[in-house]
Amino acid sequence: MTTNSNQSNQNANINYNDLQSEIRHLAKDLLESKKVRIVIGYGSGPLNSKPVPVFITDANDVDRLVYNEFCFNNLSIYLTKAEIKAKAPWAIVVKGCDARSVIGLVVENQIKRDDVFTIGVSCNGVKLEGNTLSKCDTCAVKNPSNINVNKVIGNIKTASSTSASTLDKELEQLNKMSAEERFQFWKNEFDRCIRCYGCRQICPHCFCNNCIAEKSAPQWISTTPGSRGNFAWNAIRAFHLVGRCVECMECSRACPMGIRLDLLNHYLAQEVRDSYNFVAGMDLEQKPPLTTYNLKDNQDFIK
Amino acid sequence: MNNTTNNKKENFEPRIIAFVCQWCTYTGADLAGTSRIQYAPNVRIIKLPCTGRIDVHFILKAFEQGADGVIVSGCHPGDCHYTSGNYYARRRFEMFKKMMGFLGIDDKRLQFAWVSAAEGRKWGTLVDEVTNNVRALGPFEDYKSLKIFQAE
Repeated sequence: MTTNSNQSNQNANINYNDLQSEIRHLAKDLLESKKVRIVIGYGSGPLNSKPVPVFITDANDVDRLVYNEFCFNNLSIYLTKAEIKAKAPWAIVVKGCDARSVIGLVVENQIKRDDVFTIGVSCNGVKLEGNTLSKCDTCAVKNPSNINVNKVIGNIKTASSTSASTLDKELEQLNKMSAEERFQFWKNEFDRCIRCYGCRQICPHCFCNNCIAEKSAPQWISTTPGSRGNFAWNAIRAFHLVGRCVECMECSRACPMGIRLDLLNHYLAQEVRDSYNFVAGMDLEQKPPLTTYNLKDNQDFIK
Repeated sequence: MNNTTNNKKENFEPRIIAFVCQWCTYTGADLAGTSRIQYAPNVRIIKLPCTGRIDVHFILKAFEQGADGVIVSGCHPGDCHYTSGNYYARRRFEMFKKMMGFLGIDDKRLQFAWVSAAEGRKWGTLVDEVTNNVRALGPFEDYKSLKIFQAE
């Protein structure tokens, strides 16, 4: 993850206290008027730089909600959990990227749009251990007003960035390599995998109750943390998210071995955008590209 | 097959796995046989109901189990027995092929095709072509070097 000095300067202009009190007021209103039964947001954790998720059910507790530049978690993961599902309707604090996750879950019929009140906070990049995350470089949804959210808080404008992001540059480098070199690159990455499945557990879109990785009759993916199973697991994980991944990049943040899952996700998201003119989590009406088809789809690669 | 002899490049015979749909390509391959069309014997055919049924796990598994190349073939667009299976497959395979390319797998090892029940000749040519391409590339050492256990 890389630092972007420009962005951190801009961050200084945001008044997080204002955002925080606005979130608290809204949460109080929603709970008191019984519009929602639970508010999912960020609360202060043991470290100021690592807020933890909080679930507020009582209007008197809204002061536990915090918001600062370290709110990197994508809270929409909780919406598909049985404990939370039973407590619908909910309100949830989302940044632009997280709002796209919520839309993705609605499109895939995991939740109902009417069940969720999204509090969209405009965001100028979040920080992890002092550095702005690389996904924030060319974020197109700094202000979630162009996504379907119920309420927008803050007024950061999404700057149309012309410079290539760090991820794009790395991708370009990787694409310049020969197939052999790329294979070695990914082998080195995937070889570090310890198969903790943290990438899957943190992904809002990996909601299958029975994951292919745990199927044993037949076993598609070797569960041993060796090169073979690691390659299959990481390839399949990425492939199952084609056209669904909203690039919140929580998987690569959660990865204890620092595997560059963000590069793979970003590559696939770009290919989906170029091939099918589809960006995940932006539109409630558009179906994910692999669940539909067009008679005129490209078939140059087919003999 | 003995891997130690097979992996030597000079007398290397590629192992090609073909996942085909039962309505078009399998019948096409059958036609190639009854028409006495000669083609490379390196291909092992696996019959499935439809290209829409061909999960990408199958392809990865084939490589894991020692395939040097994979062919996936089914009905031409518009000919699907289930009306739209091949349309879904077309999108899935486009993305899968791109992803495999990005992960460093030579795209000549993974060939997609439409072969109808009347195209016995096309099937023969396809298998010959893929076999020759893969023979030129040599054994798929990259994938075979991925060990099940790290300490192996």
